[in-house]
Amino acid sequence: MIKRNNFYFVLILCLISLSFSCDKKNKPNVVTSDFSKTELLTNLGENIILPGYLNLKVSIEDFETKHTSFINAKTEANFDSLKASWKRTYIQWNKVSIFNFGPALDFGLQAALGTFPTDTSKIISNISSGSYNLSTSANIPAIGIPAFDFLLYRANAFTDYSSNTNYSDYALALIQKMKGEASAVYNQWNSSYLATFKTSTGTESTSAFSIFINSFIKSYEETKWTKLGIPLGKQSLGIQQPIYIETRLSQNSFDLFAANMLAWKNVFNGDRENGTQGIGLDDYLIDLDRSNLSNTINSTLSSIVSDINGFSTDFETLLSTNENSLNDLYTQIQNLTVSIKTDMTSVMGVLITYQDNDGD
Amino acid sequence: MLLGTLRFISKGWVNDLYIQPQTYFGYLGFEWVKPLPGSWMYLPFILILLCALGVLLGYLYKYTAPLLFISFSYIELLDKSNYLNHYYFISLITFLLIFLPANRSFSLDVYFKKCSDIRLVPTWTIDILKFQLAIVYIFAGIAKLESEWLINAQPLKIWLQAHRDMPVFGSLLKQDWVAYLFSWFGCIYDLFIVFFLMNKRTRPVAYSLVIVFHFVTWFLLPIGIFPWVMIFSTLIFFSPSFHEKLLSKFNWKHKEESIVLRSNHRLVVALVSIYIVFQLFIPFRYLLYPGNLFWNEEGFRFSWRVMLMHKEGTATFYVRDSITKRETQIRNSDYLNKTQEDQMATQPDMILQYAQFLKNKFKDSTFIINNQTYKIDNPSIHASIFVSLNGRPSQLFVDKNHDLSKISYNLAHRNWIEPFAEK
Repeated sequence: MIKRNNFYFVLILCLISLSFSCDKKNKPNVVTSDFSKTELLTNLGENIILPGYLNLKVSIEDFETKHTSFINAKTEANFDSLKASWKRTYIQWNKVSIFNFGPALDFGLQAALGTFPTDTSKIISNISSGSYNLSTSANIPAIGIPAFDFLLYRANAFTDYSSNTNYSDYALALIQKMKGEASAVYNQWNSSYLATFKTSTGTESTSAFSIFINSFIKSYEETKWTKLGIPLGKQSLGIQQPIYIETRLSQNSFDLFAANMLAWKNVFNGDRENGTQGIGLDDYLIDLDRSNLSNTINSTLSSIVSDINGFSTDFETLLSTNENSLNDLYTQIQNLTVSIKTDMTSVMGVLITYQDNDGD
Repeated sequence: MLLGTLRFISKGWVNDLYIQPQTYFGYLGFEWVKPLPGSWMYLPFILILLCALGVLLGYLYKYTAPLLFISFSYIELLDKSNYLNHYYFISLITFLLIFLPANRSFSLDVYFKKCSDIRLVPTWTIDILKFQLAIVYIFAGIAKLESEWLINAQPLKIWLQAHRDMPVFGSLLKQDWVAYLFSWFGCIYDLFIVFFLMNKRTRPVAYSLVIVFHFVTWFLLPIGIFPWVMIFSTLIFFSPSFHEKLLSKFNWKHKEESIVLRSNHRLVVALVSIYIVFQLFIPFRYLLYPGNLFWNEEGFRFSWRVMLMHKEGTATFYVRDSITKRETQIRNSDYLNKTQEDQMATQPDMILQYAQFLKNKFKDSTFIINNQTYKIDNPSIHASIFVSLNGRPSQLFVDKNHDLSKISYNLAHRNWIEPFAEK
């Protein structure tokens, strides 16, 4: 008897609510949407992230090979190809630094590979003493890819690298440390994390989807600050701080900046580097009837990348000759922050938080 | 509560929320409530554990009940970033428990003969708890009687579609009509469930609905222990004989010498009435303010507006030297934890408190930039804030031209918030 009552009660309530909802809105939207987070994460993991880490590992291995070649034959040509290999590695790093979660976070890849500005006096003292523990936190600003801006481009770099064994040993130690860390992260993605990543589609803040979105947005903001805002003086009363320019000596900062922003755009669209299109966040937005937002994000990102590529001088020269062009770029990036951090997440129902909460 | 606190401690939240932060967002009038230094913050949590156990077993109730209320409410008063309706509910219930003879039967206090067993209690002692639950449900229902919830099915539309990849139910949950169904059902449930619980004939049906409803919310929404709190507390609606039958399963019965407690003292009646009036008034105080309640959040808290909106914001703060007009942009994560940053970006009172914090931080401070010293005497604090409400495109919330550090934090209407434009 009770069971039957229960059933009718629920049924009646359902009917009432259904009829009301039909009244209030002309036609309830019963479109079956195709977008699935599993497909998005599968595409990102298999076609973008895993190949990205593989490329990083391969780049660092090539960097090590070029180092060895140079040590065996200390020619200008070999030094140049060492430099070129370093730049390729740095660019590749800017394509995967976006994914600072999971294995990358476990191994502290961001700090180990990408910390700048470099502490040059720390590097000098490490080299002259010849004994160092590269895993200490004190040595973080003296290691990683950015350290080679100093090691390869400082005055007398060629002479020191070729004649001072302490110097070249230090360089090799850095390369090998990076190789170990990049392989470890790649292996963990390859062996187990990819499978976890693809299927964790929930809404809780510990799900891979939430972690990815949070880290994706954070990486955008980090880029804004570290590659542009800080040297431009946004954190220092508007007073420029050229010492914070990435690769101040080799003057590659715009290339790295553009590579990072373009990679970010590709991740947003789920596109591979070779141009093959895939399921991305843009598809999710379109599915949620917000193609306008997706278009805004895409066109602003394109404009940001083309502005960076359009600068004809290096960062430091531009700071002193045409600060306004950098300010304009900063404003564009800042304005887009609102679109991705607030508009995008609010329709997706992702909590922008790094911790689980007790809810309401 | 015992379990909730254990969960809280085990997740490391004591450290994240009450030890690490550099600043806390106190409540108006309670800003003097400050956290204990360092690991001492674990003390109130341990107190809650012990007292919750004491109240549960009815042991030393005279001391454990008030201490439970004090230690729990102390923690909640520290930082409104962590405000949740169900924490408020627990504060109120523990407050009421202080005055209720909940230790006078089936308790260790009776077992150890600290007090005598009671067979009957005055009706108000049970009714006040029923009243409190009724307030929670009915006001949560009333809060849903607005177009956002009923006509737009928001924010449930956003929250339910996020489960699109869930096996079996996923393809249903992303349908709009399901969001409407849930919205309307939730509203009707909240409004009427209490009446069905009070009626003896509908009670079994209603209680099974309580279980189903809260189980579904637990399953779909990030709402922690709240569903369990409600499932167990609604048992109060069952008759005394039901509870006594349940307890007899534990071989328990009233003692021979059990007494009947009578106290319909005038003072009690007066105090209970005052409490009731307050509870009825507080959720309606928003009517005193103009503008959109969800946007301005004036009179939003303590009103049982549970899971009612989805607000996201981006808040960019600037510290400006009033003499040189030089400006520094603030990285909020340098000063706030993630919860604080998220909550602050969309809540006007927290925006003001954060502005005050920045003002104090940068007043008479010195920047050393490129080996040169720059002193800031009297900075003004500005913010450019964009907020999105229930998935709408974001709108300007706070314009950069206000010096937020000059605006005082009070209960007056906040005209520095840009008006909400329906789009």
